[in-house]
Amino acid sequence: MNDFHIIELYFARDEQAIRETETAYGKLLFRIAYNILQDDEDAKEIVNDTYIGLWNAIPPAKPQYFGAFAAKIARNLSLKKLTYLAREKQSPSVLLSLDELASVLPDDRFNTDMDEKIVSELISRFLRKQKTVARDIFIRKYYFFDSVADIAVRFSLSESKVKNILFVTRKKLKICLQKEGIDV
Amino acid sequence: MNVPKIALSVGHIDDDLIASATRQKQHIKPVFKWGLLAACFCLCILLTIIFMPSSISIPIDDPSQDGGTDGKINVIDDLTVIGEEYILSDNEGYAFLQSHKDAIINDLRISGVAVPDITFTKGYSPVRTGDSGNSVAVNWRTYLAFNGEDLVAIIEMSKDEQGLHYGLAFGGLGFAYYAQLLETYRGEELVFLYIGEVIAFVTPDNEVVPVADLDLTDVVEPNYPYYQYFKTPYNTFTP
Repeated sequence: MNDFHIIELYFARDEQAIRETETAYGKLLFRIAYNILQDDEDAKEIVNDTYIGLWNAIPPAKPQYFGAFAAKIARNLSLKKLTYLAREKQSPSVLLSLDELASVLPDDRFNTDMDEKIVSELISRFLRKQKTVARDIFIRKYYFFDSVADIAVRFSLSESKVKNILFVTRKKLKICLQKEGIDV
Repeated sequence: MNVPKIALSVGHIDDDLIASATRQKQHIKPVFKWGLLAACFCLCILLTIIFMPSSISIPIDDPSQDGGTDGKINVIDDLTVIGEEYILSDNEGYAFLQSHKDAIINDLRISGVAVPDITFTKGYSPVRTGDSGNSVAVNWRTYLAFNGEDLVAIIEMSKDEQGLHYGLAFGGLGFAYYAQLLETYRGEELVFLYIGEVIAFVTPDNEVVPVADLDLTDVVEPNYPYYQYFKTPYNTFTP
């Protein structure tokens, strides 16, 4: 079933919508949650909460990219849960990704006058200007929290090449955010 | 722990960027992208060959060849069907592409190919040949996307337990070749040879054109099909 029809089921308040979502995106949502939380039970809980989130959001939301919309919910819920986990339960890979992002723009340099939405739009605009491979690798690492090893396999690149691409892209993003006044 | 604000901001980037990174399965090197496409065209050739005798004699014109002027080529007479549990029909694939046309146009735009509209051709399932045998994957189809008369992308679709997926192939050296050949021979049939690692077009005027500047002389091995020995390879391989 394509996304258009799945959304129609949500609008019709037909619970088949959840089953179709699970069929189409269950694995993706679990992967996002597992990448962040590194625990099967926690990840399953997040996936279920994502379905609830989708049910509550649609309607009135009518996302053009349903999969991305669902992924967004799963990611946000996972990060929220991460903050409550004890340090020893937090994935080193995720912590590294968050540290790398923080090095681009530490919280104490984040211009508090800037709305988070504006920053997101700037990051989107920045990513659109990058080469597709660099953009997708950045998103796989810092949105989906894939490991460098998984990204290397996915893109048929060496791990060192992936790390290099990420390093260069982070550096460019830092410069971009400084120019836009986000980094104060 | 606190999640850095920038990490939260990354979480709200545009959905189409996320969708693009989700769909992106693997960056296939141009030779292998074309291998899949080549396999589609080989289906036309193979379906004809299947119904021919299991071996045929073709005169070899190279006088330096020992053994005279007759030779044989191996013909594939056994094709396994794979992916039957998720058969992707042409109607289904086409309907999916139609419903995702805006997303595809947007993907192309993001990648620097701006077109106002696209149309899709009939899709073909790829034939694969290899050590484990020859197979046709009925849960895969390849479609061509045109803007008017210009080829803008090759769309590979697949179906599995999660539903339908697609990836776009465009740009790159091989693509420019392909687009140029289609333009040069518009309205005529091209023969696409997939010979292990080597891929070449054979045109109606018997030009054998490698894809992506590959030097075909580098891969002349005793067990390769000796297309270069045929005076008229186009006629030889055309169904």
